[in-house]
Amino acid sequence: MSSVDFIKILLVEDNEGDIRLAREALTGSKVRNELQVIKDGQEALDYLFQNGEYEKSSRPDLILLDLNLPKINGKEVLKKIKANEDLKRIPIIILTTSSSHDDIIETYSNYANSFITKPLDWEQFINVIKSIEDFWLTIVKLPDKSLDN
Amino acid sequence: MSLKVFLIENNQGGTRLFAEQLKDSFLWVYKLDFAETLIAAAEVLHQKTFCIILLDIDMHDENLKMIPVVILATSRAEEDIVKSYKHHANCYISKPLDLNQFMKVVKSIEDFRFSIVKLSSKT
Repeated sequence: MSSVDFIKILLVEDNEGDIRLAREALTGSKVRNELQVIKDGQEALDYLFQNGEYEKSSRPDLILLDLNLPKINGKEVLKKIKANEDLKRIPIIILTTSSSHDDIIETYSNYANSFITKPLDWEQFINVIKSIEDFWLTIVKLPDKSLDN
Repeated sequence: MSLKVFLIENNQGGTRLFAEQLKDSFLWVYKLDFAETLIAAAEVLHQKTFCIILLDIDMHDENLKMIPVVILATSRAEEDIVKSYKHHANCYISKPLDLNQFMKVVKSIEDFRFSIVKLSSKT
């Protein structure tokens, strides 16, 4: 990972309650992180591809992606990111209410790094975010964002 | 239900040591299988399914797409990390330098994958 001392996480999610819980869970993290929240699929792509107002946006180190999104759904967003030579290295964790077998198969087939079904209980939800933090921020090596590689 | 783990690792230098120690310590917890080449691995994959494949970095293969692949490598070089993600490894973990750290990592993988993450295995 680069020498930046905090990790940028992009959360693509339109449910206000889930956004609040995720923020809360990540605020107490032992790893310094910055959470960027985007609420629809089109805007997420604009952000990642640096379109329009997002021309100068910096790339996240990790993406948490809901499947049910306004404008462009999560599966399409996933495909577009993983089809791009520069963006495909970014780990994407699908975080969704769905537990459907078809959704699991389809997202793994499209190179999602992980699939997690959101718990209904808020305490469990926070635990899930903390698990993601433990595993992806402290155990796993995240890819460097620079384009030299 | 124990986690079915497949460790695909070249028998070079001291790396095989981890495989042996893992087997001795954890055989009763995980169902562990080994292979040293992709050809041998392909034969095993023909007969068995796994929850996780731990794969040495230079052996990555397109056919492993539907099973989460955790790259477990000695290299800490940026280009190796990026290369693995670009080839769609699910995640990359640097091989810890001692067995205790290694066990901690394996336990983390188990906690994370087994309890939280949905895998696409057919059961």
